Amino acid sequence: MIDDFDPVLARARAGSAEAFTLLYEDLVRPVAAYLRARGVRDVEDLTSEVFLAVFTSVGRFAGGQAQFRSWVFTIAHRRLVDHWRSSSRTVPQTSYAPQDDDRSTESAENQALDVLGEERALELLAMLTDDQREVLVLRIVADLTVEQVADVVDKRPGAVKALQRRGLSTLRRILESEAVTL
Amino acid sequence: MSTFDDNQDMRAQSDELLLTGHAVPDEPGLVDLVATLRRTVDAPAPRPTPALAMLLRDGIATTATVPVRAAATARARRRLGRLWRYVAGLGLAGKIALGAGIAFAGVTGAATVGAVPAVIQAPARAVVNGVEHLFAPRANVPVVPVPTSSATPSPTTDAPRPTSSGEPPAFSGHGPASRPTPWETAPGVLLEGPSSQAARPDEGTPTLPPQAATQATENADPGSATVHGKSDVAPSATPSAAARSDKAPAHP
Repeated sequence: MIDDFDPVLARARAGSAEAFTLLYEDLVRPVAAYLRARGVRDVEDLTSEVFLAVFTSVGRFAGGQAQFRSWVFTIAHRRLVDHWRSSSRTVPQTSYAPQDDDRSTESAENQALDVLGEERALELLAMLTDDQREVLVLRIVADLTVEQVADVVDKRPGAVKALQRRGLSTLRRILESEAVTL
Repeated sequence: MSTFDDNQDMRAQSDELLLTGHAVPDEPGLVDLVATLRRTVDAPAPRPTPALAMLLRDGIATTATVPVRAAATARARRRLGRLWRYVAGLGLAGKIALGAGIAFAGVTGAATVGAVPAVIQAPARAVVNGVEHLFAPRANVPVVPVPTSSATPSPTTDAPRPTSSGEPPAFSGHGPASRPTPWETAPGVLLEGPSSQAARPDEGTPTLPPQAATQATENADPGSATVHGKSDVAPSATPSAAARSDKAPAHP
C-alpha cells in the first residue's frame, strides 16, 4: 500500500518515472502472482504488458487507491483473456540459452517444500470452473473485495459471492475426500 | 429467519474470514490452501521487459492534445445523439415531411450547383423545373406594385439587370421563357430563390436594406452565374477571393 496515494497518482498522470516506479513496486508482485495462479507460464512478459498498458492509460483513470488496484487487475484480467485467446491459436516456442539464464534457487529442501505446496494448491484450483477459479484467485491473491472482483470480472456482487461459495465448497469436498496435506 | 438462513450466514462469514487470510478452526485444509496461495505474492518480482524498463526510467512526456480531441469527439457524439433522438421522437407525418424535405433539397442542390456532371445535372434540372411551379404558384401572376406609405424606393427591381460587362448572363436553364427565373432577374446575386420577392409582391418590403443590396450586387461576380449553366465556361473566382489568393501564401 502507498501511504500518500493521490499525489503519486497525480504525478503518474503527468508521466513521472518516479511515480511509475512506486506504483509498479506496489503492485507488480500481486499481479505476477495472479497471472501465475491463473496458469500463465510467461509471467514476466505478460506482467510487463499489463503495466505498460496501465502507465500509458493512467491519464484516463480517476479514483482512489482501492479503485486503482481494481483497475490494474481489470487490465490484467483482460490481458489474460487476450493471452489465452492468442495462445490457443499459436504453438508456443521457447528458446533456451544457458548463458542467459541468471535464475537462482533456494536450497533443495526449501524449494521442494514450497513448490510442492504451491503446485498442489494450483492443481486444486485447476479442478474448479474457470469462473470460480478467477473469483477465488482475485479474492485471495489479489486481495480484492467482493465488489472489486465484481468490477474486474464484470459481474454482479451476488454472482461473485455465489461463485466463491461454490468454489470453496468444491475445494472443501476435494480436501475432505483426499485428506490432502499441503 | 430460518435455520437454513442462519447456516448460510454462518457459512458466508466463515468463507469471508477464510478468503481474507484469517484462521477458521474447523477447516485446516482450506486455511492451508489459502495461506499457500497468499504466499505466492511474496515471490520475487519478474524482471520488466526493456520497454517497461525504459518507461520506469524515463517516464512519459504528456501532451494536452489527446484530452482535447477526446472532448471534441464526445461533444460531436452528444450532438449526433441529440439529433437522432429528435428525429426518433417525430411522428410519422413529421418523419415523412423530413424525408421529403431532404430529398427535395438534394434534388434542388444537384440541379442548381454545377458540381455534378451534365449527365446527372440535366435530369435533375428537369425535375426541379417540373415541380418548381408547385412551390411558387403565383409566379406567373404579373407583378402589381403595392402602394406603400413610405417614400423609400424599393431596393430590388423586377427588370433584368445587365451584368457588369453589359451582356445578359450565360444561363442555359430549361424553364419556361415567359417567366423570368431569379437568376435571370439578378445574375450573379443569388439572394433570391424560386420563391423570390419578385414572385411575391404582396409580402411587403425586402429584407435587405438598399445599401446592402446594392453592395451585394456590386460585389457579386457575373461569372458566378455561369455555374448554373453547362460547364462550357469555367467559373472564375470572385474578385475578393482572387485578391485574397494573391496575398495568401501558397499551400504546399
